[in-house]
Amino acid sequence: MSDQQYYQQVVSATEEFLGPAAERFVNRQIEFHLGKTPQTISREDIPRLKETLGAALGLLVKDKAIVTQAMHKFDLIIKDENL
Amino acid sequence: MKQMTAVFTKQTSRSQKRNTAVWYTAVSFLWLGAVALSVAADNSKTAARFHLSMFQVRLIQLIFALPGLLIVLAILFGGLSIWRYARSIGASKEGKGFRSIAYGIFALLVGLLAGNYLSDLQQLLSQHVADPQKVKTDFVIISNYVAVLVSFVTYSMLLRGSRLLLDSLGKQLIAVRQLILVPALFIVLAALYAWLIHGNPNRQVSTDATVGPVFGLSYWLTVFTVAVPLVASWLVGAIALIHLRRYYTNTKGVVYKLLFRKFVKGMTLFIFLNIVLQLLTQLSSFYATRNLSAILSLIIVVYGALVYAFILIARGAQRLSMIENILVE
Repeated sequence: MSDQQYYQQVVSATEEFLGPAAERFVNRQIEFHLGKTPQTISREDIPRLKETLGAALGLLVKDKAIVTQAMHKFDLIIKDENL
Repeated sequence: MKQMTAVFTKQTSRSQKRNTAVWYTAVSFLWLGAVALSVAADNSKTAARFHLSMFQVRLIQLIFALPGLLIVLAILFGGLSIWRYARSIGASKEGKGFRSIAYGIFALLVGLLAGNYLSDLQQLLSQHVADPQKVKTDFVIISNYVAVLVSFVTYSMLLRGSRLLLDSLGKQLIAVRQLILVPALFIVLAALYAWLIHGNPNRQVSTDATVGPVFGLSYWLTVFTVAVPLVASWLVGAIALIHLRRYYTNTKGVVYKLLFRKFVKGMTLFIFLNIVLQLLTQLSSFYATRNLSAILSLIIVVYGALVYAFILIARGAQRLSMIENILVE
């Protein structure tokens, strides 16, 4: 899978939780935590992005099930399975 | 690996806080200016009519001014919160949509203040002219047209904003069924309004020396240049609300929707109550000599609910801003 595809999958998974704010959120986290441009992320970067999304969602909502669901989505990307 | 923690970054810089303080102070002073003008006017006729002393009349004016101040500050709070959120999401379609909604709310605020100044100015001027009824008539005509204009500008901005939001999802703007049902409902409302105007003895010339006419125009001129445009503006507001709710239903994001819910609730309440308030304000002038206290009490209840609506809108916009201001360390 290409870097561009990883980026698309990360944005698409985040969109299920943050809707229209997803792309902005992912871009900010990639730039801040990975020091990369958004579309150059690789598979190795996904666990870190998974953690940032988990921490952010934990602060935004009390429902732990939503956070667990989001983490699972990212696990699927790491495993390269279709979402 | 180190455990990550998320925090909200400082949402407002010092300059933003200063700008906010300037806005709140300016609006408070403008409101206080309107109250001062109203208190300064000669209210001896009103005092005589209700068997009150001048002190009691002024006290009542000041007591009624407080909820008014609360509502203008609540409108400003709602508008500024949306505007800040719009700024934080930049030039996206969504950002433009929220910005337009904020401008609509600011237009409402300007209209409310302008309406108060016009009313005060009319009171003051009518004391110093030979024909006070003419001044009252001229001012009521201007005030009604200003109200129609403000209503149109406010709802048009909300419509533009809600359309931009819906566009960002690539959704059809409005369902065919709604395109027939909603205007039909408003045609009925326009007919009811025209009927109420027809039954109002003070519509063109006031039969009471202490109050001016309600419209100051002939019946058909009132219907076609005031009532119909006002009801049409309500229709625009209703369509904006349908778009906004459609955006809420169709947008993605479980968490985004949870945060957006308050905003939609607030906007629904605001558009509905604003229409009710405009209708009640007209009714209060219709029945000024009859059951005024009941209608005034109802208006105060609607004012209270409007303050709540703007707090909901502001809290909704602030909750959405949280996504943009979150920092994970």
